[in-house]
Amino acid sequence: MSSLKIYEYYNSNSVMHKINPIVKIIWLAVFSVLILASNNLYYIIALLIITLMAQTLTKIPIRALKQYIAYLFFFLILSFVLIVITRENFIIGILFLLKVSILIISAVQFTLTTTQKELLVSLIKLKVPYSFAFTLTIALRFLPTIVKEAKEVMDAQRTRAHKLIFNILKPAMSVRSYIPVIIPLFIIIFNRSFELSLAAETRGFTPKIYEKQKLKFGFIDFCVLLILSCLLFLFFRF
Amino acid sequence: MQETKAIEIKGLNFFYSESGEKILNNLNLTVQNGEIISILGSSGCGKSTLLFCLNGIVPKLIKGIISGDIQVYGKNVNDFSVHELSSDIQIMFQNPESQFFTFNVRDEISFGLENKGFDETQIKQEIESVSKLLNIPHLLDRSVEELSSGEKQLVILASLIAMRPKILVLDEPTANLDPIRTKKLKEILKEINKKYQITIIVVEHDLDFVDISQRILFMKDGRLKKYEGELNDNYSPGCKPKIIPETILKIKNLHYKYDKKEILRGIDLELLKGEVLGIVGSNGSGKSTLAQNIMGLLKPTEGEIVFRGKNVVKLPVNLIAKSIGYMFQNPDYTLFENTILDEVKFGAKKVGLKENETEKEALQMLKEFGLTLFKDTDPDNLSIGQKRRVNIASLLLMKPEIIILDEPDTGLDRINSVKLMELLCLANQKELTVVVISHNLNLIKNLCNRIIFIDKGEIVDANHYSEFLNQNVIS
Repeated sequence: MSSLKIYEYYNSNSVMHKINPIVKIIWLAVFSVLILASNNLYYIIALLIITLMAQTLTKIPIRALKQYIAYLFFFLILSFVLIVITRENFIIGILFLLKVSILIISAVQFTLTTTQKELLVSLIKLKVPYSFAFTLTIALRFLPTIVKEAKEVMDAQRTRAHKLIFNILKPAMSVRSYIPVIIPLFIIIFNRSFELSLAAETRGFTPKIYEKQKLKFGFIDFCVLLILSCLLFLFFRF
Repeated sequence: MQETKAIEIKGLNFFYSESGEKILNNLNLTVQNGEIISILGSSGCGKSTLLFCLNGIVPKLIKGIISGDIQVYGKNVNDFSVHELSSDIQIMFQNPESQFFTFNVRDEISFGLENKGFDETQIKQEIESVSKLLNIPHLLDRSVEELSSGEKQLVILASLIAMRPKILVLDEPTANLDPIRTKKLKEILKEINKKYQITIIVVEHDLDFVDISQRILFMKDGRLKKYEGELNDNYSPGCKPKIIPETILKIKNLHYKYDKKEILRGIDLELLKGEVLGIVGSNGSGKSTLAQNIMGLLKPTEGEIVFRGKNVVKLPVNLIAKSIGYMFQNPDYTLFENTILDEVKFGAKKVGLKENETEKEALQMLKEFGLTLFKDTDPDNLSIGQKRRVNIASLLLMKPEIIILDEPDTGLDRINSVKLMELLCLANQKELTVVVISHNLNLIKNLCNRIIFIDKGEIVDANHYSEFLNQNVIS
């Protein structure tokens, strides 16, 4: 199986896919606040267990995510070591490791189980200004395109004998070396966005259609909100 | 009663407010329902502006001063929004990439239908019907990112046709297509015109669509007139390369794999000093991959690339760039300096040429390339033809021994293509070896002393490529 893209919807009929997207947004928002606000190791471990259980419910094969897991693992270990060395505190390192893992896994679960349209409809129903909601959903779609264009621009400048430098110890020099990449990339993205706005008009885009769409609220959604309420209660209780 | 006139334009004038430049000048046009027409003309003559006037993008979204009357199926365009006119008229932009809103093909086709208020059953039916018509049912569940440029164009076409417009407008649809895909696109357009009675307007630099058009119009000085063979002048007297019998580059058994797929399969190629080599092949055949392997942007999985007796496979790109220049298809990828002069000098400075000498040579180069007037201009304000010339001037100033150009004529009109060819010929006379990758067989045939064909990652015999050769050649 080819690896998945974490910003793209994974088509499946799992329980997680069936949850009302507005409930998913509320869950993600509240859950993130709880993760960041709590420093109780047991509470954080409980959140991790819930997140991993949710992951099994998505029916997304872990091996399809192995590439990202490898990156995440590398980043986490590196951060953990740095924190333990600089703060001389093992528990802070562990907490950081768990918190970042839960946040990333939850966000990825959301993008993999929510269609672009569901996200747009939910945001419009949550009274987010439609221009912002539309821009956000389109930005997700354009991430891979921008990454591809950035690579091409970098290659093009390298073929002009330009050396791209990435050195943490020499930030000014690194930034300077990327100016020939950043400027053309910005111009390309700006032109693309303009063309896209024209295309949206010609394809008859109108927020009214999305305002009218209905999102079902069912038993699963009730259960999700109940679990979230329990977590909130536990957070304030302890 | 069915309206017989699809479009009626009377006395259309248009100025851009900022520049004051008059783009359309008392333009008149009548298009009958179900007609296929081609509008030809050089870059910047106002073809795209005219298209954008038809659905109100100009002046509602692209501002300017407009006068005259435009009727689309009896509706005055001024009285309706772009959104309202989308039921009558759909435009396919030159770059299909700019029209994708969703991650997958099925969602993309349904995007416009949802906006039109179709219910789920109707959307399913439309997707099924249009995908069958365009022969793309196998693409429906694919991710947009996985599609080739030709497939992307088909998907956008399907998305537009699904909305059942009465008029379909295509802005330079063959810019990124090889002759085989161009032929397929023409067949599709003929079929949808016949099946749905859709009026089709194609805007092109060249004569690709004239054989399926009932009428051919030519745009000049902001007006339309009947085409009278203005583009029939031959490309150029041709180039006589100054070849020196000395191998400059030797590629031995080159293989390249990406994502377990073999893109290049044992390429063997020898390049003599001063040669002008043309590389032809369909979209995705491996032409650009070969060039990027030579430049060191991609590393071969097997084989050798020997430049002047030295295997350069492991050399970094910035070192290879001192001897081999490479021009990307999109001229905007490199332009970032404030002036053209600085832009042209950029690469030369990077390869260690002295500032005072570079300045002098850059000015001379700008003169040869007809860009002296623009030396202090922001590169962003240039036309695509001028940008390409800046790209080439910048590469030549780095004094490479070989220059590789990837689709240098994409988006260029006939005049600019000829100019480009003349400049390459001129550079070749100074013993520069030139490699041109292009779909444009006219350009390749006039410019190159040798042509190779790449198919599925292999160099194939020209005789096996007759289908390619027999198409799109206007001599």
